[in-house]
Amino acid sequence: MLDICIFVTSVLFFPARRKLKVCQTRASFWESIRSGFLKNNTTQVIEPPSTNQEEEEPLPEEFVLVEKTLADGAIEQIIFSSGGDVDVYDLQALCDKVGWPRRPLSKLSAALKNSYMVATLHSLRKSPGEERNEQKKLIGMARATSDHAFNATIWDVLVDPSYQGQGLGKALVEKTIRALLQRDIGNITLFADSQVVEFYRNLGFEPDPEGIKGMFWHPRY
Amino acid sequence: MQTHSALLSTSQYPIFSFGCNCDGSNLSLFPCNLNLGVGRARRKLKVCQTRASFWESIRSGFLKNNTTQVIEPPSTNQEEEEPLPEEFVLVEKTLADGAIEQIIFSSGGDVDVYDLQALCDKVGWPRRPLSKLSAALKNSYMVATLHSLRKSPGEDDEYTWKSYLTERNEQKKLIGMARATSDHAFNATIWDVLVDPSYQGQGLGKALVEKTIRALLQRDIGNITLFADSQVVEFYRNLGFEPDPEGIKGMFWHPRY
Repeated sequence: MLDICIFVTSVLFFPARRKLKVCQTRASFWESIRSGFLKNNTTQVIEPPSTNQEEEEPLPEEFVLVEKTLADGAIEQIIFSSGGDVDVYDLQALCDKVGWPRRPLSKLSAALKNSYMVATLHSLRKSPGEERNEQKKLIGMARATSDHAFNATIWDVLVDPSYQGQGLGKALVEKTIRALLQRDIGNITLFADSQVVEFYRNLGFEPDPEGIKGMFWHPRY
Repeated sequence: MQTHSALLSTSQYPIFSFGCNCDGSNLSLFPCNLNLGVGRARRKLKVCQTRASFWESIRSGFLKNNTTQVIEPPSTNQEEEEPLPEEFVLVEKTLADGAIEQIIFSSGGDVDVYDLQALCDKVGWPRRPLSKLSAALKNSYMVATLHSLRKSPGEDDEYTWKSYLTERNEQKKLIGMARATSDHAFNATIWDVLVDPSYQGQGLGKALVEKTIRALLQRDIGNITLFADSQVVEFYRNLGFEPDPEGIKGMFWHPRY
């Protein structure tokens, strides 16, 4: 009797409460993002978050999250996409950068292909004056498996260390959650290393609700 | 009963086919075990111990009366590479009226959604829309089931005219299910494990989960996870699951109570 049991069928009572909780979360989340992004004048938040924004408003598959002007006049955009178009070599390189153990490329491909959602952050650098001189780089990813109906589990959340500390990880996860909610997935779960439990708590995740334990079969240490 | 002596001979450890998967998936959980030899041996031992105790507990449940036979004799000599058939008889017993009841395990995923709905009702789970149940089944990496097949006496003789001319008097009933989602490469999460209350207490839930795990391992899925209600944490611990390994926490986004 796993997670489905915990959802008491008080459907009438919960939507309002849930909506309120999400709004509150989003206000505090965007507050924290905004304060991070607006540290200098050259950074603009392109996608202005508004607590009035209806949850029903569909999230575009791809959009610019952040845009900033660099010292040399070039423009760098951070682009979020839930379209799942990931080059497996780029992903391998990113996993190396964050220090994760190597995994076979064929398995990485299979994992991407068979994930319900793959969300990415790319850095797009446009040199000044030359429209075609663009460099696109994978700088973040999150993916989720799902039964397409009730449950989703988020795996493999990573952001290029050079881009950490700017709220991009939070944005990545928040957008992924929003995309999952829009697909009517009611139960969004993940397994968090002890050092990132607080990170996810701030995004609205709760560990062991009602004593439910995440369990692993013979975990290898 | 003649095959059960095989259960206890643990002189040979089965050889595991775990690949060198340092699974760095899942938010950098697993520090790479560079000392693979030790890790594998350790894991091998753990699983053997688990399997011996698991089958021990199953056996004691099944052999309570003489009319119950374990058809699929578990043997700790059994190579893990030996492929698990998609469908096989787990238990067979003769009922009081001479009828035979077989419990059949299948990982083929052929579930009638109405049967599933009825089973969920029986265990007291809240109703879920049939369309969503269908979608969930269709999009699960694995759906494992237990069916009870009841054959009335006298009608299972393959060689009589009757068996060709008349419909066999067989009743097939869904009595258990477990399903798993997966990325087909690294991780799987088991959801919705249930056994008909009339059939609980016989070790069928354990068998269901154990076979599901085995089928997942055979598909080379290295990380098998689940979320257990507090009252069943012990049940899964006995099957080899560990809660919060190295402080990893299962988390839910705004869980609804």
